[in-house]
Amino acid sequence: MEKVKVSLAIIFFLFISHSSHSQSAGSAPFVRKSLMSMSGGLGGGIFIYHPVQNIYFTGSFSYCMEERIGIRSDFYLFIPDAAIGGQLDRNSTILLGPEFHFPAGHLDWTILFQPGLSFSYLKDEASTNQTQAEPVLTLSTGLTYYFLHNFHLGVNAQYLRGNYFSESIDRYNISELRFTAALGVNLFVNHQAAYQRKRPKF
Amino acid sequence: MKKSFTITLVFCLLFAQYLFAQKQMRYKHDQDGTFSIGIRSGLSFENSADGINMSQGLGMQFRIMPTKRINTEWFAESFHGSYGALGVRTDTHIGALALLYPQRRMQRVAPFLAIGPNADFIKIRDRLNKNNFESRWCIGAQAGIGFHINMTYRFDMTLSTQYMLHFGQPVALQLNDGNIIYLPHGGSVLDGHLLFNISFNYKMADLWKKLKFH
Repeated sequence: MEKVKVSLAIIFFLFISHSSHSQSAGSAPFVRKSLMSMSGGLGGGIFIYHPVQNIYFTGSFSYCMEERIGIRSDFYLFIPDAAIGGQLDRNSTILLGPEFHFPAGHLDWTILFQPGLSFSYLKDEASTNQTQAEPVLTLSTGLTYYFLHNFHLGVNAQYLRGNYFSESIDRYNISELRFTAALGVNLFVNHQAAYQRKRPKF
Repeated sequence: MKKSFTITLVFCLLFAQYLFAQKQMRYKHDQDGTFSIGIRSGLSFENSADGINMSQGLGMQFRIMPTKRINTEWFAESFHGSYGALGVRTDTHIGALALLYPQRRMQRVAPFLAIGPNADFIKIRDRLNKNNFESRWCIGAQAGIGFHINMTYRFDMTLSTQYMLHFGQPVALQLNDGNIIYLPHGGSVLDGHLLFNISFNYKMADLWKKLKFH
Protein backbone atom coordinates (compact mmCIF):
# COMPACT_ATOMS: atom_id res chain seq x y z
CA MET A 1 0.00 0.00 0.00
CA GLU A 2 2.82 2.33 0.94
CA LYS A 3 4.64 1.57 -2.32
CA VAL A 4 1.51 2.33 -4.36
CA LYS A 5 1.19 5.69 -2.62
CA VAL A 6 4.81 6.53 -3.36
CA SER A 7 4.33 5.53 -7.01
CA LEU A 8 1.22 7.71 -7.31
CA ALA A 9 3.10 10.62 -5.79
CA ILE A 10 5.90 10.22 -8.36
CA ILE A 11 3.43 10.09 -11.25
CA PHE A 12 1.61 13.15 -9.92
CA PHE A 13 4.90 15.01 -9.67
CA LEU A 14 5.72 14.13 -13.26
CA PHE A 15 2.35 15.40 -14.47
CA ILE A 16 2.86 18.64 -12.59
CA SER A 17 6.34 19.07 -14.04
CA HIS A 18 4.88 18.50 -17.54
CA SER A 19 2.26 21.19 -17.12
CA SER A 20 4.69 23.62 -15.50
CA HIS A 21 6.95 23.21 -18.57
CA SER A 22 4.22 24.09 -20.97
CA GLN A 23 3.07 27.14 -19.00
CA SER A 24 6.46 28.68 -18.36
CA ALA A 25 7.24 29.22 -22.02
CA GLY A 26 8.10 32.84 -21.30
CA SER A 27 11.16 32.02 -19.18
CA ALA A 28 13.35 29.82 -21.30
CA PRO A 29 15.28 27.17 -19.39
CA PHE A 30 18.96 27.85 -18.87
CA VAL A 31 20.00 24.40 -20.05
CA ARG A 32 19.97 24.11 -23.81
CA LYS A 33 21.92 22.75 -26.73
CA SER A 34 25.71 23.33 -26.70
CA LEU A 35 26.02 23.70 -22.94
CA MET A 36 29.33 22.26 -21.79
CA SER A 37 29.92 21.62 -18.08
CA MET A 38 32.68 20.40 -15.84
CA SER A 39 32.36 19.75 -12.14
CA GLY A 40 34.18 18.30 -9.18
CA GLY A 41 32.90 17.21 -5.82
CA LEU A 42 32.75 14.70 -3.05
CA GLY A 43 30.63 11.59 -2.78
CA GLY A 44 29.66 8.87 -0.38
CA GLY A 45 28.57 5.33 -1.12
CA ILE A 46 26.94 2.46 0.70
CA PHE A 47 27.39 -1.10 -0.54
CA ILE A 48 23.99 -2.74 -0.76
CA TYR A 49 25.16 -6.25 0.15
CA HIS A 50 27.98 -5.38 2.57
CA PRO A 51 27.88 -3.15 5.65
CA VAL A 52 30.57 -0.88 4.23
CA GLN A 53 30.64 2.81 3.36
CA ASN A 54 32.96 4.45 0.84
CA ILE A 55 34.13 7.97 0.08
CA TYR A 56 34.98 9.28 -3.40
CA PHE A 57 36.35 12.35 -5.11
CA THR A 58 34.13 12.85 -8.12
CA GLY A 59 34.43 14.66 -11.40
CA SER A 60 32.28 14.95 -14.47
CA PHE A 61 32.26 16.37 -17.97
CA SER A 62 29.09 16.81 -19.98
CA TYR A 63 27.97 18.32 -23.25
CA CYS A 64 24.42 18.95 -24.46
CA MET A 65 24.30 17.64 -28.02
CA GLU A 66 20.61 18.41 -28.29
CA GLU A 67 18.18 20.66 -26.44
CA ARG A 68 17.52 18.13 -23.72
CA ILE A 69 19.93 15.28 -24.30
CA GLY A 70 23.62 15.31 -23.59
CA ILE A 71 26.52 12.98 -23.09
CA ARG A 72 28.25 12.81 -19.75
CA SER A 73 31.34 11.14 -18.40
CA ASP A 74 31.94 10.70 -14.67
CA PHE A 75 34.82 9.44 -12.61
CA TYR A 76 34.77 8.37 -8.99
CA LEU A 77 38.17 8.29 -7.37
CA PHE A 78 38.03 5.96 -4.39
CA ILE A 79 39.55 7.21 -1.13
CA PRO A 80 40.42 4.19 1.03
CA ASP A 81 40.02 4.49 4.77
CA ALA A 82 42.09 2.05 6.82
CA ALA A 83 39.79 2.56 9.81
CA ILE A 84 36.86 0.96 7.96
CA GLY A 85 36.99 -2.82 8.08
CA GLY A 86 35.87 -4.93 5.11
CA GLN A 87 36.35 -2.11 2.63
CA LEU A 88 37.83 -2.79 -0.80
CA ASP A 89 41.36 -1.51 -1.23
CA ARG A 90 40.55 0.02 -4.61
CA ASN A 91 37.21 0.80 -6.16
CA SER A 92 37.47 3.74 -8.55
CA THR A 93 34.96 4.02 -11.38
CA ILE A 94 34.65 5.65 -14.79
CA LEU A 95 31.27 6.01 -16.50
CA LEU A 96 29.98 7.25 -19.84
CA GLY A 97 26.42 7.64 -21.02
CA PRO A 98 23.50 9.80 -22.04
CA GLU A 99 22.07 12.48 -19.80
CA PHE A 100 18.42 13.47 -20.08
CA HIS A 101 17.59 17.01 -18.96
CA PHE A 102 14.31 18.25 -17.55
CA PRO A 103 15.04 21.95 -17.03
CA ALA A 104 12.87 24.58 -15.36
CA GLY A 105 14.44 28.03 -15.25
CA HIS A 106 17.86 27.75 -13.66
CA LEU A 107 17.07 24.37 -12.17
CA ASP A 108 17.70 21.16 -14.05
CA TRP A 109 16.56 17.69 -13.11
CA THR A 110 18.58 15.00 -14.87
CA ILE A 111 18.40 11.27 -15.41
CA LEU A 112 21.49 9.35 -16.45
CA PHE A 113 22.06 5.85 -17.70
CA GLN A 114 25.78 5.16 -17.70
CA PRO A 115 27.64 1.92 -18.23
CA GLY A 116 31.28 1.91 -17.19
CA LEU A 117 34.14 0.18 -15.46
CA SER A 118 35.00 -0.22 -11.79
CA PHE A 119 38.65 -0.81 -10.97
CA SER A 120 38.39 -3.04 -7.94
CA TYR A 121 40.91 -4.79 -5.74
CA LEU A 122 40.74 -6.55 -2.39
CA LYS A 123 44.10 -7.45 -0.95
CA ASP A 124 42.86 -10.26 1.30
CA GLU A 125 41.50 -12.30 -1.60
CA ALA A 126 44.07 -11.70 -4.32
CA SER A 127 47.44 -13.32 -4.92
CA THR A 128 48.65 -10.42 -7.06
CA ASN A 129 48.61 -6.65 -6.77
CA GLN A 130 46.65 -6.32 -10.00
CA THR A 131 43.52 -4.19 -10.11
CA GLN A 132 40.64 -5.82 -11.93
CA ALA A 133 38.34 -3.93 -14.32
CA GLU A 134 34.73 -4.96 -13.82
CA PRO A 135 31.83 -3.80 -16.02
CA VAL A 136 29.19 -1.89 -14.12
CA LEU A 137 25.86 -0.34 -14.96
CA THR A 138 24.48 2.76 -13.28
CA LEU A 139 21.22 4.64 -13.12
CA SER A 140 21.35 8.12 -11.61
CA THR A 141 19.22 11.11 -10.97
CA GLY A 142 20.38 14.59 -10.07
CA LEU A 143 19.34 18.15 -9.47
CA THR A 144 21.50 21.04 -10.66
CA TYR A 145 21.16 24.76 -10.05
CA TYR A 146 22.89 27.18 -12.45
CA PHE A 147 23.98 30.56 -11.13
CA LEU A 148 26.07 33.55 -12.25
CA HIS A 149 25.79 32.26 -15.81
CA ASN A 150 28.95 30.15 -15.60
CA PHE A 151 28.63 28.14 -12.42
CA HIS A 152 26.45 25.36 -11.14
CA LEU A 153 25.86 23.36 -8.00
CA GLY A 154 24.51 19.85 -8.18
CA VAL A 155 23.53 16.83 -6.16
CA ASN A 156 23.26 13.35 -7.54
CA ALA A 157 21.98 9.96 -6.37
CA GLN A 158 23.16 6.84 -8.15
CA TYR A 159 22.52 3.12 -8.15
CA LEU A 160 25.48 1.08 -9.38
CA ARG A 161 25.28 -2.61 -10.22
CA GLY A 162 28.31 -4.85 -10.56
CA ASN A 163 30.36 -7.75 -9.23
CA TYR A 164 34.02 -8.13 -8.39
CA PHE A 165 35.44 -11.58 -9.06
CA SER A 166 38.46 -11.83 -6.83
CA GLU A 167 40.27 -15.07 -6.00
CA SER A 168 37.55 -16.25 -3.70
CA ILE A 169 34.75 -18.78 -4.07
CA ASP A 170 32.17 -16.02 -3.52
CA ARG A 171 31.96 -13.01 -5.78
CA TYR A 172 32.11 -9.62 -4.08
CA ASN A 173 28.93 -7.77 -4.98
CA ILE A 174 29.92 -4.14 -5.51
CA SER A 175 26.37 -2.89 -6.07
CA GLU A 176 26.21 0.43 -4.35
CA LEU A 177 24.11 3.50 -3.66
CA ARG A 178 26.13 6.67 -4.15
CA PHE A 179 25.34 10.26 -3.27
CA THR A 180 27.45 13.15 -4.53
CA ALA A 181 27.53 16.92 -4.29
CA ALA A 182 29.54 18.91 -6.82
CA LEU A 183 30.41 22.44 -7.86
CA GLY A 184 31.23 23.19 -11.46
CA VAL A 185 31.71 25.61 -14.30
CA ASN A 186 29.77 25.76 -17.55
CA LEU A 187 29.79 27.63 -20.83
CA PHE A 188 28.01 27.55 -24.16
CA VAL A 189 30.03 26.54 -27.17
CA ASN A 190 29.20 26.47 -30.90
CA HIS A 191 26.53 29.14 -30.76
CA GLN A 192 26.03 28.97 -34.48
CA ALA A 193 25.90 26.05 -36.82
CA ALA A 194 28.99 25.75 -39.01
CA TYR A 195 27.23 26.79 -42.21
CA GLN A 196 25.86 29.97 -40.57
CA ARG A 197 29.20 31.28 -39.37
CA LYS A 198 30.76 34.20 -41.18
CA ARG A 199 33.82 33.42 -43.19
CA PRO A 200 36.93 35.38 -42.27
CA LYS A 201 38.00 37.93 -44.88
CA PHE A 202 41.62 38.20 -45.84
CA MET B 1 3.24 -6.69 -11.64
CA LYS B 2 2.00 -3.35 -10.30
CA LYS B 3 5.55 -2.24 -9.71
CA SER B 4 6.64 -2.98 -13.27
CA PHE B 5 3.53 -1.25 -14.63
CA THR B 6 4.29 1.84 -12.55
CA ILE B 7 7.92 1.90 -13.68
CA THR B 8 6.83 1.59 -17.33
CA LEU B 9 4.33 4.42 -16.87
CA VAL B 10 6.93 6.66 -15.25
CA PHE B 11 9.37 6.06 -18.10
CA CYS B 12 6.70 6.77 -20.72
CA LEU B 13 5.89 10.07 -19.02
CA LEU B 14 9.53 10.98 -18.68
CA PHE B 15 10.39 10.49 -22.30
CA ALA B 16 7.11 11.59 -23.86
CA GLN B 17 8.18 15.21 -23.94
CA TYR B 18 11.37 14.33 -25.81
CA LEU B 19 9.53 13.07 -28.82
CA PHE B 20 8.40 16.43 -30.18
CA ALA B 21 10.96 18.79 -28.71
CA GLN B 22 13.80 18.50 -31.17
CA LYS B 23 14.59 19.99 -34.57
CA GLN B 24 14.68 17.75 -37.58
CA MET B 25 18.00 16.32 -38.65
CA ARG B 26 19.05 17.90 -41.94
CA TYR B 27 19.30 15.06 -44.41
CA LYS B 28 20.37 16.21 -47.82
CA HIS B 29 18.61 13.38 -49.59
CA ASP B 30 17.56 10.41 -47.55
CA GLN B 31 18.31 8.46 -44.39
CA ASP B 32 20.72 6.12 -46.12
CA GLY B 33 24.30 7.07 -45.45
CA THR B 34 23.64 7.92 -41.83
CA PHE B 35 26.62 7.31 -39.61
CA SER B 36 26.03 7.00 -35.86
CA ILE B 37 28.04 6.00 -32.83
CA GLY B 38 26.90 4.65 -29.52
CA ILE B 39 27.60 2.87 -26.31
CA ARG B 40 26.04 -0.38 -25.29
CA SER B 41 25.53 -2.42 -22.18
CA GLY B 42 23.86 -5.72 -21.66
CA LEU B 43 23.32 -9.01 -19.94
CA SER B 44 24.31 -12.43 -21.15
CA PHE B 45 22.75 -15.70 -20.01
CA GLU B 46 24.53 -18.98 -20.54
CA ASN B 47 24.13 -22.51 -19.30
CA SER B 48 26.67 -24.34 -17.16
CA ALA B 49 26.71 -27.57 -15.20
CA ASP B 50 25.47 -25.64 -12.14
CA GLY B 51 22.60 -23.91 -13.96
CA ILE B 52 22.11 -20.62 -15.74
CA ASN B 53 24.70 -17.90 -15.24
CA MET B 54 24.37 -14.21 -15.88
CA SER B 55 27.19 -11.96 -17.07
CA GLN B 56 27.21 -8.21 -17.32
CA GLY B 57 28.88 -6.33 -20.12
CA LEU B 58 29.63 -3.15 -21.92
CA GLY B 59 30.89 -2.03 -25.29
CA MET B 60 30.84 0.46 -28.12
CA GLN B 61 29.44 0.46 -31.63
CA PHE B 62 28.95 2.44 -34.77
CA ARG B 63 26.37 2.15 -37.51
CA ILE B 64 26.42 2.88 -41.21
CA MET B 65 23.10 2.76 -43.00
CA PRO B 66 23.64 1.71 -46.64
CA THR B 67 19.98 1.73 -47.68
CA LYS B 68 16.65 2.84 -46.28
CA ARG B 69 15.68 -0.67 -45.18
CA ILE B 70 19.07 -2.01 -44.05
CA ASN B 71 21.44 -0.75 -41.40
CA THR B 72 24.79 -2.19 -40.39
CA GLU B 73 26.09 -2.21 -36.84
CA TRP B 74 29.76 -2.76 -35.98
CA PHE B 75 30.46 -3.47 -32.36
CA ALA B 76 32.96 -4.55 -29.74
CA GLU B 77 31.78 -5.66 -26.33
CA SER B 78 32.86 -7.68 -23.33
CA PHE B 79 30.83 -9.69 -20.83
CA HIS B 80 32.13 -10.80 -17.45
CA GLY B 81 30.47 -13.11 -14.94
CA SER B 82 30.52 -16.35 -13.06
CA TYR B 83 30.51 -19.72 -14.83
CA GLY B 84 29.12 -22.29 -12.47
CA ALA B 85 30.25 -22.35 -8.86
CA LEU B 86 33.94 -22.69 -9.65
CA GLY B 87 34.67 -20.58 -12.71
CA VAL B 88 34.70 -17.03 -14.00
CA ARG B 89 33.96 -16.45 -17.68
CA THR B 90 34.86 -13.49 -19.89
CA ASP B 91 33.43 -13.17 -23.40
CA THR B 92 34.72 -10.58 -25.82
CA HIS B 93 32.87 -10.09 -29.09
CA ILE B 94 33.92 -8.13 -32.16
CA GLY B 95 31.30 -8.32 -34.82
CA ALA B 96 28.88 -6.87 -37.30
CA LEU B 97 25.13 -7.02 -37.63
CA ALA B 98 22.76 -6.33 -40.45
CA LEU B 99 19.62 -4.66 -39.13
CA LEU B 100 16.65 -5.26 -41.42
CA TYR B 101 13.71 -2.87 -41.05
CA PRO B 102 10.23 -4.01 -42.09
CA GLN B 103 8.94 -0.42 -42.16
CA ARG B 104 9.07 1.61 -45.37
CA ARG B 105 10.56 4.60 -43.62
CA MET B 106 11.96 5.12 -40.16
CA GLN B 107 9.30 5.64 -37.52
CA ARG B 108 9.47 6.79 -33.92
CA VAL B 109 9.63 3.15 -32.88
CA ALA B 110 11.48 1.09 -35.44
CA PRO B 111 11.55 -2.70 -35.02
CA PHE B 112 14.25 -4.69 -36.73
CA LEU B 113 15.56 -8.16 -37.37
CA ALA B 114 19.28 -8.53 -36.64
CA ILE B 115 21.68 -11.10 -38.01
CA GLY B 116 25.43 -11.21 -38.35
CA PRO B 117 28.79 -12.85 -37.73
CA ASN B 118 31.34 -12.13 -35.02
CA ALA B 119 34.71 -13.11 -33.67
CA ASP B 120 34.60 -14.32 -30.11
CA PHE B 121 37.28 -14.63 -27.43
CA ILE B 122 36.36 -16.74 -24.41
CA LYS B 123 38.42 -16.98 -21.26
CA ILE B 124 37.50 -19.24 -18.36
CA ARG B 125 39.46 -19.06 -15.15
CA ASP B 126 39.53 -20.77 -11.81
CA ARG B 127 37.69 -18.73 -9.21
CA LEU B 128 40.43 -19.33 -6.67
CA ASN B 129 43.39 -18.75 -8.93
CA LYS B 130 43.58 -16.01 -11.56
CA ASN B 131 46.59 -17.57 -13.21
CA ASN B 132 44.81 -20.85 -13.93
CA PHE B 133 42.79 -20.22 -17.07
CA GLU B 134 41.96 -21.49 -20.55
CA SER B 135 41.03 -19.34 -23.52
CA ARG B 136 40.18 -19.64 -27.18
CA TRP B 137 39.32 -17.58 -30.24
CA CYS B 138 36.45 -18.72 -32.41
CA ILE B 139 33.92 -17.45 -34.89
CA GLY B 140 30.28 -17.07 -34.06
CA ALA B 141 26.96 -15.97 -35.46
CA GLN B 142 24.01 -14.25 -33.89
CA ALA B 143 20.45 -13.46 -34.75
CA GLY B 144 17.63 -11.75 -32.94
CA ILE B 145 15.11 -8.97 -32.83
CA GLY B 146 14.99 -5.48 -31.38
CA PHE B 147 13.71 -1.98 -31.82
CA HIS B 148 14.97 1.58 -31.87
CA ILE B 149 13.16 4.27 -29.94
CA ASN B 150 14.02 7.42 -31.86
CA MET B 151 13.84 9.96 -29.04
CA THR B 152 14.92 12.75 -31.37
CA TYR B 153 15.91 12.81 -35.02
CA ARG B 154 19.50 12.26 -34.02
CA PHE B 155 19.33 10.25 -30.80
CA ASP B 156 17.95 6.78 -30.31
CA MET B 157 17.77 4.13 -27.64
CA THR B 158 17.92 0.56 -28.91
CA LEU B 159 16.78 -2.56 -27.12
CA SER B 160 17.51 -5.95 -28.59
CA THR B 161 17.73 -9.61 -27.77
CA GLN B 162 19.83 -12.11 -29.71
CA TYR B 163 21.04 -15.65 -29.49
CA MET B 164 24.73 -16.10 -30.26
CA LEU B 165 26.28 -19.38 -31.34
CA HIS B 166 30.02 -20.06 -31.10
CA PHE B 167 31.69 -22.48 -33.47
CA GLY B 168 34.87 -23.45 -31.68
CA GLN B 169 36.75 -26.23 -30.00
CA PRO B 170 35.52 -27.31 -26.54
CA VAL B 171 37.44 -25.92 -23.58
CA ALA B 172 38.37 -27.91 -20.49
CA LEU B 173 39.89 -26.20 -17.46
CA GLN B 174 41.57 -28.38 -14.84
CA LEU B 175 41.13 -26.85 -11.38
CA ASN B 176 43.60 -27.15 -8.54
CA ASP B 177 41.20 -29.29 -6.51
CA GLY B 178 40.87 -31.85 -9.31
CA ASN B 179 37.54 -30.70 -10.73
CA ILE B 180 37.23 -29.90 -14.43
CA ILE B 181 35.12 -27.13 -15.96
CA TYR B 182 33.89 -27.84 -19.47
CA LEU B 183 32.68 -25.41 -22.08
CA PRO B 184 30.16 -26.29 -23.45
CA HIS B 185 29.18 -28.22 -20.38
CA GLY B 186 27.15 -30.81 -22.32
CA GLY B 187 30.11 -31.84 -24.52
CA SER B 188 28.48 -30.46 -27.68
CA VAL B 189 30.52 -28.61 -30.29
CA LEU B 190 28.08 -25.72 -30.31
CA ASP B 191 28.12 -23.26 -27.47
CA GLY B 192 25.91 -20.25 -27.19
CA HIS B 193 24.35 -17.61 -25.03
CA LEU B 194 21.35 -15.36 -24.92
CA LEU B 195 22.06 -11.64 -25.03
CA PHE B 196 19.99 -8.66 -23.98
CA ASN B 197 21.43 -5.34 -25.08
CA ILE B 198 20.57 -1.73 -24.54
CA SER B 199 22.40 0.95 -26.48
CA PHE B 200 22.29 4.71 -26.93
CA ASN B 201 23.26 6.08 -30.33
CA TYR B 202 23.82 9.49 -31.83
CA LYS B 203 23.65 10.17 -35.56
CA MET B 204 26.81 12.04 -36.45
CA ALA B 205 26.74 12.54 -40.20
CA ASP B 206 25.13 11.85 -43.55
CA LEU B 207 28.01 10.12 -45.31
CA TRP B 208 26.43 9.76 -48.74
CA LYS B 209 25.43 13.38 -49.23
CA LYS B 210 28.39 14.24 -51.45
CA LEU B 211 28.06 11.13 -53.52
CA LYS B 212 24.58 11.72 -54.89
CA PHE B 213 23.72 13.89 -57.87
CA HIS B 214 20.02 14.53 -58.22
